Amino acid sequence: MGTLAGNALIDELSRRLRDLTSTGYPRADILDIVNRTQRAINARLGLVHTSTAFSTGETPLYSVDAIATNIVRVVDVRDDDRPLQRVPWPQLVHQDPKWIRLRGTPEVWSPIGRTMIAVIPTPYITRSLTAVSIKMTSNLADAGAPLLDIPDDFKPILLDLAEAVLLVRAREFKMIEAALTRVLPALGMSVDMQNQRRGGDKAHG
Amino acid sequence: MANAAVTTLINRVVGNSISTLIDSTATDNYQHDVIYEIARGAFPGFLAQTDATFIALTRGTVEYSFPTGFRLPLMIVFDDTQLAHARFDEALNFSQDWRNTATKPIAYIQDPVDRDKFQLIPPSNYASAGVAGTPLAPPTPWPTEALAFIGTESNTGWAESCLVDTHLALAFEVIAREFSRDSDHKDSDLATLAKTFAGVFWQMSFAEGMDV
Repeated sequence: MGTLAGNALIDELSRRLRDLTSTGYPRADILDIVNRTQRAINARLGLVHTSTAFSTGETPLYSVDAIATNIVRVVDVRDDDRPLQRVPWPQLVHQDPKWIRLRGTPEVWSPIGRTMIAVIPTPYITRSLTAVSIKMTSNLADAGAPLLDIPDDFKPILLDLAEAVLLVRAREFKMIEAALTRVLPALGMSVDMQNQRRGGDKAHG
Repeated sequence: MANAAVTTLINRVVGNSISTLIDSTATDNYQHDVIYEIARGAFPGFLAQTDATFIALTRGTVEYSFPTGFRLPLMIVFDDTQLAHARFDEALNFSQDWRNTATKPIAYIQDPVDRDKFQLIPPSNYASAGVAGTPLAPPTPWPTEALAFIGTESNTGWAESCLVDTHLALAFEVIAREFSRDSDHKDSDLATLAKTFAGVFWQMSFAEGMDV
């Protein structure tokens, strides 16, 4: 959990954008982009996780949204402290072609896209399992609370990425390139920035 | 129905709240297009909306339509057994007369039939006992001799809570299309930049191999 609040982050971005009066970049717009970039960074880097208990039913298939509404993706399923083995869904048939109605103690789990997981076998009686997931980070407010979900040391990445997105409005291509060049290596990504310069830079001639 | 939060985000990113730059009908349509493309597998490695449903079996019927809203089958299960996804030539190897030999289905094919249909190899000699509920909330006992269809969906509302982190990617994908088409606000540089952003945010949301 970070210690930074939304209002401080908006102040800092307004300064970067040279818009301290929030004329071109209303504070609500900046806040929304900060919230969304925080979620994207956590989805990429898995900095903050959440654990949610869910009860098994008469099925191996579970909706992720039904487990919890603050999940980006499930990364682990546990039966008490015992982690189930993660199996890609195309391999379920190789584990057992009758997996859909297999009964017994859960041994494996499988993500089927973003919105569904399978837990196999289906227990004979209801059990409580735990889904460990990358957290869909909470929204900040233009106030002193709540605080950032991701650690404070990822603030530079957060602000660089949010700044790059916000600069799209002003078509500040060179500044966007500079911000992305700073942030993408930290996310383990690279982009051919030559693409951006096709046709010249409108903002700076 | 396009996702309202994504529409707001698009307006926010391009500055449409300050002066009207985009055609909201076109951006809603592009939003639908992207969701359809993801559902049909046009974004490799991006498996987003998936669901499962039962299909009632009719004795001797070979061909079935995909359930409403489903786009790509991932797995099809007959009774308690996952069917193999076969090719047409494999079906012929099973039996030249497989369409007229109703027993227990062991596989399905898609390739020689309409894109939104599949055929059972061989057709079932059973009829479903009952298909109330869904595989995620099945009746007790689980319906016998039913098909369970697990596949991708294209819910254009993109309303699932676990997909909220993809809104930036979806918004930029739409911006790229809206500003690259011929219009009074065409901006190829912005469209190219938006496509780059979309690629970045898709990569951030769909870690390789994590969702598939």
